[in-house]
Amino acid sequence: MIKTIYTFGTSCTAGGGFEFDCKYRHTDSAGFKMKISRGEYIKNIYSETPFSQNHYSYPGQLQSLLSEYSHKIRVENISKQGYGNERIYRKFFEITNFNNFNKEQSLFIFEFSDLSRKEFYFTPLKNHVIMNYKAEPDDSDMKNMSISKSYWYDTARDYKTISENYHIFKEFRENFISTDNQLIEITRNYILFLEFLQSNGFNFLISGVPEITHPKYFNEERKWKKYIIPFGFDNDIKYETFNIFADEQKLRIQDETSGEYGDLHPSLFANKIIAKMVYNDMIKRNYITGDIIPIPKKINFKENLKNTLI
Amino acid sequence: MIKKIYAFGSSFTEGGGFEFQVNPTIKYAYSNLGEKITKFNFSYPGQLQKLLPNVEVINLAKSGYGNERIYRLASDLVLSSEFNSEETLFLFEFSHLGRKEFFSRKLNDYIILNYNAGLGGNPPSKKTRFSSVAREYNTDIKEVKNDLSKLPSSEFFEKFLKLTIDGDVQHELVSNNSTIFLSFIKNRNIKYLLVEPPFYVNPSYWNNLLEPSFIKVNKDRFSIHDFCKPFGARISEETKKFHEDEHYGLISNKLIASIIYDEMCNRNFISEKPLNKTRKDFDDIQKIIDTNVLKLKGII
Repeated sequence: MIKTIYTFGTSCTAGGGFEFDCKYRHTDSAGFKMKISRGEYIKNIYSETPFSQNHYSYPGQLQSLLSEYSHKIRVENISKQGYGNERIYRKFFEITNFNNFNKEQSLFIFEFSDLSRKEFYFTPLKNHVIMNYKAEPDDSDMKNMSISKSYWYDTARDYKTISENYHIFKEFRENFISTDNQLIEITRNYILFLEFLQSNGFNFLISGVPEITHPKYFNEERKWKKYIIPFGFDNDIKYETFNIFADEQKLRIQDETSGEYGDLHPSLFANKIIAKMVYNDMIKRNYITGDIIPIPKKINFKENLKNTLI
Repeated sequence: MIKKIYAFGSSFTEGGGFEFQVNPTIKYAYSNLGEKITKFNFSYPGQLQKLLPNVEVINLAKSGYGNERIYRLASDLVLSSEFNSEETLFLFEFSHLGRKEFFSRKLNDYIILNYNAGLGGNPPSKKTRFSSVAREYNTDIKEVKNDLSKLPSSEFFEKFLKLTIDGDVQHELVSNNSTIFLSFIKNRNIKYLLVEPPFYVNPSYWNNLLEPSFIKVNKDRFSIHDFCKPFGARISEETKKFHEDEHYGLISNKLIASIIYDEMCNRNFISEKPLNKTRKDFDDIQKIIDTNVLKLKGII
């Protein structure tokens, strides 16, 4: 019986857009810096408590759902904004190499990423940092990149230390990051990791597939379809990635707030129904027992907003 | 039955030290042995090829490079449509820290950054030190210069190393990646032997990934480095310091090849009988090398 669910992924799994603890001044949709922080700004829009990024993420909502239906299952959200597969692999081993880890009682749900993310260990901060870069097919854009230890939460010292060494990472990016080669490596590593999971009998599901994979490995993709959670409304299109579902169905924060808060991550409503879809999928695969929960349509889309006129 | 063997590893597998084109004088130390004067032939995969004329032995090892090259090349072979897992055997010589591979956009090829991981000492210094960077070691000086002119300066690599490499973090990464890679190979039912096992993988994976692929010598698991330590296995020793190189000599590589051959017999990978050779079986070769060296030194 599953006792712990570990969710891995990017900002979409982390509850991106709901950085309630962010102290940075918020920039409004017109580009002006507001007097209040991003965290305060979001609190002024939404009503559901607790005001935490995790609670507003789909894993947070899944935790609420599991508790509501009396399942004694803990959801550990291991995802982090900006970061991608390299962090997933690293964190996976941190968890599973631990002596008390119980494989049979654990379920892993992965939202995989693809290009534009490169992780480094950064000795001055004794921590990992993530480089997000613009990946053009012909490598024509070498300018657009950013580095962060933790987007929205970096301290002044973090920012300063990263900035002082930015030129080294820039030189690295210009010399050693080729889109085509990165895509080969990312796809290969993704396949190897899935084979590793399968080979060692881990319970796992996929909540997001890489948006792009290298054509060299196309034949390998179909092997993993059975692990993918389908996302979509009843009798409607099904998506292999929950945030694409939110994108395509216009269930983003921007849509939920009628453009007031221009963030493109899945909305709270989206995360609620995504959690239900994950929950239902777990029942279908016998990871938990219970009845399938109906997936609501868009009727209460703005129910959690303080000002529903937004 | 095995029809193809791929050997992966570092300079120890490539035949490091036997760069006849760069140091032509070495060949005199190894003359009169009836050996083809090529790096491949002097490597243990090359010697294995001599023992297995009906099997194709392909040596994909490269000096300076390490596990990242192994993962990359072996995985792509397995994932290619032509790969025949029934008839293929992989030989892996894993390395550890001190090697970091990057894809150079300007060279359109991989390069290797070698560094001292700083894990030695008591307490460990934890300071990584830049050693060298190359696309290919031991090649023509003109080519090396041309390659280096397309890469950032050594100052860049020194700074990059200092900023991003931590021995403990790299150790975890190497351990995790070796586990992922070997699990993949295992999941595909590919036969593999560990010439130098990645002893650093988490013990919980040993039974599944390492134990079944150990090469056994006198009931002990085989490690190319542990095995070669006790006797004068290195080129320096084999040539009485005529050629100062810490890679394994021809006799060691012959012995390693015969041990792998025997392991293949014992596992029914080939229908032959084990050779059961020991170091003593190669004393005649050592005598010829000794004579060659004495002649070269002008002693006889």
